[in-house]
Amino acid sequence: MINDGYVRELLQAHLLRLMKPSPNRDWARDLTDSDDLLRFAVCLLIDILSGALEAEVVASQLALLDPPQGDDVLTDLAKIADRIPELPPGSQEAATRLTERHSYVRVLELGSFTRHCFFPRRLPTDVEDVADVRNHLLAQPAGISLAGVDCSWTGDSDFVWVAPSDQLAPILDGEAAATKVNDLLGLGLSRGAAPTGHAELVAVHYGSAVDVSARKPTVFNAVRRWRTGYYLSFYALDGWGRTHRCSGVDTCCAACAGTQPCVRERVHRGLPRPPDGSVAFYIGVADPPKGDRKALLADAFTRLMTQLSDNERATHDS
Amino acid sequence: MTPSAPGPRTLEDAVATFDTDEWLRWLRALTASPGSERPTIELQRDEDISERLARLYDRLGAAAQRQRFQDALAALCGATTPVPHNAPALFILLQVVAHVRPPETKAYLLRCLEGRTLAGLTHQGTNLATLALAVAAAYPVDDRLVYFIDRTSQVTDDFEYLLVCLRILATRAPTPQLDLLDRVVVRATTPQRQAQVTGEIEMIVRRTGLALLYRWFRIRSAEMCDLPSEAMAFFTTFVRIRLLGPMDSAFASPDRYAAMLATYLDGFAYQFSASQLLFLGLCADLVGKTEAAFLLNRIRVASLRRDRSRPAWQLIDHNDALFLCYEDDRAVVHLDAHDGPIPLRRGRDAVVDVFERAYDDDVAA
Repeated sequence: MINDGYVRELLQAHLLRLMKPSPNRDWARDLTDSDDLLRFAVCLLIDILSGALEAEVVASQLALLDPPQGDDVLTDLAKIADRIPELPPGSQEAATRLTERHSYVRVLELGSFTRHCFFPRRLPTDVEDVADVRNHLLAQPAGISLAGVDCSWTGDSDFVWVAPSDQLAPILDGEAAATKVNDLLGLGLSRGAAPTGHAELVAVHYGSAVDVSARKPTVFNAVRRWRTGYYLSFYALDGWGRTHRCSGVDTCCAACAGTQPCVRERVHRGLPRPPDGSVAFYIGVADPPKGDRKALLADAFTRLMTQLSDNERATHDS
Repeated sequence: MTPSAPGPRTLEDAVATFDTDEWLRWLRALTASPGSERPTIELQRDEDISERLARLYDRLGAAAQRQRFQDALAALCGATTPVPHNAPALFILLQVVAHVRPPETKAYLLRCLEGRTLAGLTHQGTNLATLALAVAAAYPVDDRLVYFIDRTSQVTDDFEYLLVCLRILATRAPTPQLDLLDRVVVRATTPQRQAQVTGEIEMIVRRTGLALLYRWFRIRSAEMCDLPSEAMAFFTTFVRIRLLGPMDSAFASPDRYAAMLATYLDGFAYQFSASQLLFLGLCADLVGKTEAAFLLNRIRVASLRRDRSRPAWQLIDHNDALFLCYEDDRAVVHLDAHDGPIPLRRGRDAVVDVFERAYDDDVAA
C-alpha cells in the first residue's frame, strides 16, 4: 500500500530540510498531490537515497526555480532538469561505469525517425516520406546504414535513451516484437506514423562497442515525458536503469521472482550525428500499450522500500 | 493513502468542442515563447509539439472540427510577425501547416518567400525561409513555385537550400530541372556534403526511378560537360556503385532506366548478351526509337573499337522502322512496330530465342 504521508516525511527528511523556508519549499512539499507527482517524488527519493542524485544540488536548484504559477508542476520541474549535474562527483557511478564500452540500441517511432534522423534537415515530412523510409527499411533486412546521416541525434529532447543490444536482440527477433518492445521498455507509445495511427517502431543498433558516454538515468531525464512514460528510478548503482513495463509487472523487483526479462537502459547526451556504424532496422507496428498506472505506482513504492532497506543494511554493516 | 486523481482526460477530449477562436487562443498560447504560460500538452518520447499537433488534427473526427483547426492555424500564421522573437512559434506552425495544408496559407507562404520576409530567421539550426519553401511544396507544386525555385537557386550559395530545391523539383514538379542537379553536384566538395547529396539522390531515385539521372548524364555527356572533373568523378562513382551495381543487376532492375544508364556509363567495356541487346532495343517504347538506337549504336561502336571487327548484328532503319538484325537477316526483330510500342513481354521469348541462338552460336564458335 502506498502511503503518501510517509513519502512526504521522507521528502522532508532527505530534501526539504536542506531548503530555506520559501514558497518553493511549500510547493515541493506538495509533490505528492497526484499519482504522477507521487511517482515523481518516490523516484526522486530513490535517486537521492541511492546516491544517483545529490540532495544538496537538487535542493539548491529547486530553491532557484520561480514558484510554479500554474498547476503543471512537472513542467516547472523539467526546467531544472538541465541544471542537475549528470553524476555526483566521486560517486560509484562516476568512478566505475562511464569507461565501459557497450553496444546499444535506440528504439524510435518511425515518424520521428523519418523526420529527425533520416531526412537530415529537420524539414517537414509527410506520409510519402514515411512510406519511403518504411519501404526502404523493409527492403533491407540487413538494415540501413546511417553513415551518411548528418543530423542531431537527439530528436526533441536533450537525452537519448538506449538499451543494451545483447538484451534487446532476442526480443526484436521474436513474435510481435514492436508491441513487446513498446511494453517492455515502458515506451507507452500510442500514436505514430502507421497508417492506423499507431506507433511503428525502428531500432537503431549502434556499432559494436561505440565510445558513447552513457549512464544510468535519473528522474530528471524522464520528467519531460513524465505522464506518457513509465519511468521508475532503480535502487542499485550498477550503472543501469531498469525501466518499468507499461503493462504493470515490475520486471526488476521481487514481484516477478525473476520470471520476466529485465530490460536495462541508459541515457546519453545528444550527439551531432548517429554514432559511427549505426544501422537501422524496421521492427513493426506496436499495439497501443495496456498501461497499468496503479501497478506502476505500487512498484515505485516497492523499489523505494528496497532502497531504504539497502541503506539501513549498509548503515548497520558500517 | 493513495491520492485519488480524476480519470485522465485526453487532449482529444479537451479540444473536441473548440470553436475557431478557442483553437486560435490555444494554439497561440501553445506556441508562445518560452517563459510564457503554456497549456499542458503531453508528448511521447522523441515526439515534438508539431508532430503532436499533426496527430491531434488527424484524430479530429468531424470535418467541421478539422475546418476550425485549419482556420485557426491559417489565421495564426498570418498574424505571427516574422521577427526573431517569433521564430520558435513559426518553426512549429510551419511544420503543422505542412501536414494540415490550410488552403489559404499557400498564398501566405508564397508571399513570405517572394517578399523574403523570413530571410535570416532560424530556429534550432533550421533556416525558416528554407522551411517555408519545403512547406509550400507540401501543396501542389505550380509554375509560380517552380519559377521561384529556379530563380533563387541560381543566385544562392546555400547548399541546404539547393538540396531542398532539388528534392522538390525532382519529386513534385511537373518537369525536372536538370540544371539544379549541376549546381548541387558542383558544390558537393566535402565528404559531409557528398553524403548529403547521395542521401538525397537515393531518396529521389527510390521515388521516381533513374529517369532523371539518365537524362542528366545523357545531356552532360563527356563532350559537352563543363562540370569540374572531381565533381563528375564523385557523382559518377556514386551512381555506378550505390545505384546501379554490376551490369547484370542493372538489367534485372524493374526500372528499365537502370539498364540504359548502366549501358551508357559502362557499355564500352562490356560484352552484352543477345537478350540484353534486345532489352535495350525494346526500350524504344519507353524512350523513343532514336534513344534506343543511340544506345545500341554506342555499343556497336565500342565493340568495333574493342574487338577491331564488325559485330555480327546491326541496326537497320528502314522506311522509318527500326530493326535489330543478326547477320544476313537470320534473325530480325522489329523494335518499333507501327501498331504501337512493343510490350516488353509480348512475344519476346520467341524473338529472343531466334536472335540469341544465332548470336550466341557464333560467339561460341
